[in-house]
Amino acid sequence: MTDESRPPRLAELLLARFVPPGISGRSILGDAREEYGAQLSSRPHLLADLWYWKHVLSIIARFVTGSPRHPLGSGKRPSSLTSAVRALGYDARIAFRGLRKRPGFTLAAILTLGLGIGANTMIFSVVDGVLLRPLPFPESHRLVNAFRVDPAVTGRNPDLSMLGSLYAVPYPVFMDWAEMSPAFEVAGAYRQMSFTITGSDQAERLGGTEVSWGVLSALGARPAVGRLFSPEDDAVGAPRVVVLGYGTWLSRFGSDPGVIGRSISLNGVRHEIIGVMPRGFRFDGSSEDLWVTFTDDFKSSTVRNAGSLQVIARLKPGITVDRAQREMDAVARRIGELHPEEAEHGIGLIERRDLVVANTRAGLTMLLGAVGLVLLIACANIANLLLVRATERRRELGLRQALGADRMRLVAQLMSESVLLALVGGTVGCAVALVSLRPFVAAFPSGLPRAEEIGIDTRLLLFAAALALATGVITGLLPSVRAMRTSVMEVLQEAGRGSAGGKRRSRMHAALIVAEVAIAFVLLVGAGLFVRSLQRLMQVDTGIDSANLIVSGISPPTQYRDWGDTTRGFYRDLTTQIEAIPGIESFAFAGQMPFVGGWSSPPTLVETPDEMVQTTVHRTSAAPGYLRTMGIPLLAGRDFTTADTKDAPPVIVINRAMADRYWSDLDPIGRRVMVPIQGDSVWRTVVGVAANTVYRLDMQPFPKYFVPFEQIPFWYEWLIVRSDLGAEALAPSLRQAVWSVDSDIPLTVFRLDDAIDGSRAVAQPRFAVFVFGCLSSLAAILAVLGIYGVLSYVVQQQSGEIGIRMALGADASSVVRAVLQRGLLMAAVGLTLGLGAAFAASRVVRSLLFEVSPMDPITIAGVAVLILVATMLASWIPARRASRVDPVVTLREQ
Amino acid sequence: MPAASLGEFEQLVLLAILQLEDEGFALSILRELDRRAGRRVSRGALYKTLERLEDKKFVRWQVEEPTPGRGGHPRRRFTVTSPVTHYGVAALQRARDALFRFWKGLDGVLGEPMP
Repeated sequence: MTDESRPPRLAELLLARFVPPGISGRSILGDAREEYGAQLSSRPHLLADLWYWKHVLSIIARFVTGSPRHPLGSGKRPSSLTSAVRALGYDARIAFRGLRKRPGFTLAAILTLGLGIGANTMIFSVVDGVLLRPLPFPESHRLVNAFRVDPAVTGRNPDLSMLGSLYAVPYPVFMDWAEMSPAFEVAGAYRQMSFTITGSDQAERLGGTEVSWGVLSALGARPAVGRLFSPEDDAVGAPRVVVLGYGTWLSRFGSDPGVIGRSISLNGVRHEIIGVMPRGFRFDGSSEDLWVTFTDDFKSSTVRNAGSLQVIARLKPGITVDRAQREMDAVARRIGELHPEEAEHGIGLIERRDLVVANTRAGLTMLLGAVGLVLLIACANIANLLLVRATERRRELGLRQALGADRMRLVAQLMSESVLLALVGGTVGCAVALVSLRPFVAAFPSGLPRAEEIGIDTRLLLFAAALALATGVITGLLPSVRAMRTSVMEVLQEAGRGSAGGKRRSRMHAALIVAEVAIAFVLLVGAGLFVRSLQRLMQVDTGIDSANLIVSGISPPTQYRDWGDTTRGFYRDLTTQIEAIPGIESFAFAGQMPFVGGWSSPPTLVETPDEMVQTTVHRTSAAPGYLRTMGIPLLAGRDFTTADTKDAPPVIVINRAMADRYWSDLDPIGRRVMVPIQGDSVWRTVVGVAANTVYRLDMQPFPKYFVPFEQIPFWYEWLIVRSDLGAEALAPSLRQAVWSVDSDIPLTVFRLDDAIDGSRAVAQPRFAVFVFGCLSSLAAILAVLGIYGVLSYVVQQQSGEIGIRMALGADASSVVRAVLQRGLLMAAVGLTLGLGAAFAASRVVRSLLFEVSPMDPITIAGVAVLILVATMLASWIPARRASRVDPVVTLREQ
Repeated sequence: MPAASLGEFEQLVLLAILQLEDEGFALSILRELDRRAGRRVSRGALYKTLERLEDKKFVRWQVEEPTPGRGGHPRRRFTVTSPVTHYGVAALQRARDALFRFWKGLDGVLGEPMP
């Protein structure tokens, strides 16, 4: 028999499971095969397959749904699976009828479970795409990033918590690593750059990546068109070449394969197009419009103590990250021997996948935990409702047991209702997940890493199915076991009213409610903490008067970038143009903009009274008027003036944090600092002290100094304008001013306040507040509904007892009090447990909070009060109902 | 053992097996039902009925060597049990006799039977 005439494997396996055991079953399989062969000879493969499936399903339907075989039949026992499935089909029908009779309950349960399962499936699909799946590169587990580390800070083995102390790598150092490392198959260095593309079309700013040839090779990328970089492209003096991103090729060149060999102008330099990256290729997130090699100047640099490069490497097959790390340690020691001043530097390797998701892991894990808890609450609620129903059926079940029914069969029958609910809920949940996944991913603050890899596939549908099944079993288990544990005699004797059994049952209800309250408490505290965290962030004193500040990034074309007179001239021309714009209160240029970008922390020598401190300090250039425009108070000394030119004495203005760190009790004015790089090895004198500013809302102010722009011009500058005209009104005249200097300069203009608002530091807690707010509200509502339901049930069960007490003279208020007490007791126990759980969870949340303790007393007290008040309200209605019990009616019923 | 009664479809299946003589394989029975009675039944229904007839001891089967195209699975050849061993043929006789008694005298209403 050839493989071609083999029917669909899954269908055949399925059939084999359901036909009777032994020869009968095998002969049915044989018949099916034979007919499939006949079908194949007369119709296309697909139709034959479909035919086979239909055939298999019809057989299974027959063997599954028929009522269980009569026990006095042939004496043959069907396989245990077959009979189990048969019984299941039977139970499912009964359960379906039962649920159809109570549409309100059924709908509520399905929606609750649907939302719960849907939210879990959605979050899991995000976790799966971001954290679990391998990166979309061949054998991606062999990819590592390499950093320069300071072993004094990080230890020899850096881990992710040390991300902040990993340093970028200088080009000559990278070349040493690539050459000396025995563990790397291929290594590459890269950095993100923005490029202004000019030529036929309008000037456009593109995000690109400068790479050494090894980067794309290490990633295992294949070009869509043309070729990628080769080692020859990296040689000094090689022609300038560019590889286009697929998107750029599509939008700017209309996917024309003929672009290979053509030239484009990037930052004013001709580059020959040699290839196009494949569609959907993603590496570091943004800057992937184009890829170029490093410039000759950059490659010829011999600066070894300040780097700007990321290094990626593909390990040789079979080499673990640990082993590679040991080998790199040896490399670092050899480099230390060759360059003694680098002896204290180490090399740290981090697996690429860990690096990519480092900032997201904690948040996602917590989110997954939170939705899991909501689902648990939903389960508890539905279990409670089913518990009530199982109690109502106790007499029936007791009777059936007395007549000899198998206990397990009865349990299965009770469970089938919850499983059926959960499966339908799971289907709803899949729909919920499908609909909500994209909006959720899009709403994730500052973009999820690997967002494009997130999607719902068969694996996730299986996850949803498994989750639904587990939910059904968990929900149904308690009521079923409970119902079966009662003894037959007890049930038959008891007239169905409150008794010892009733007490035990209500303890079970109470336990479920307590669990719900505890979980809801934890989630509400979480939401409360994020709210407080956000409040704190919004109250942070930035040190900047950001209202009415309008910001624009300016990147002049390459011809102005000599870090000398040409650059100075460019900005002087620009200054003249901007001064002419009406409505501008003040303006300045600066090399770095808090909340937006720019970062430079060069190695710096600081002269303190005791010693020469070698360190790195944050540095930025600033034009005269910077402090005034930014609204930063000058605490001592003076601001820069137009007299601080390149020929004037070298000066700096420092911030308060720097003054405190290095000259705490002394007057910092007149102290000296040196930056021994880029030909700036001169001592600079402190002439002023400015107040602290924060770089990001969630960062403390750190030491920082300003150098006069005229003395160290950066080629990329931020134009900062103070004006009450607004960004929209001002943008055209700013553009006009810039373009009158050079029309090839793209310009984006925005308000600083908008940038602060949209920054990751704010967006992340805001998103957390939103998600946790939704989840915890849902949890709280479910828990309160649960309290209400249980108390209503208890009151109904005990109406006889209440009636008697009232007949004996108890007044209505004592009845109300008794019911309220019961509700509050459950809530109080739940709160106590919740407090413990919140404490246990505090370690996870801590890293996501800003200046709020995970056990913040205000939040915890607030949530506790909220829950108690809600409990009071939920208990009130059943309590009132209890107090209205008419003793006469009750006594008559007795 | 009391004589079990025969459903209409069971009768058709038994008759089909008798008509097929030595060729009483499940697939042949299906085709025979379609050809002679115009009944297209699902495989599941047929297997289920055969199982039931076997339980009532009206049919039995022997295993035949697998033919090619069956993936090595065996083939069952069904036969109707004869009066000597058991009840299949006798049950058919009883059913026919009972029906005949009822048919008798109704030609005026139902018309002549088809040949």
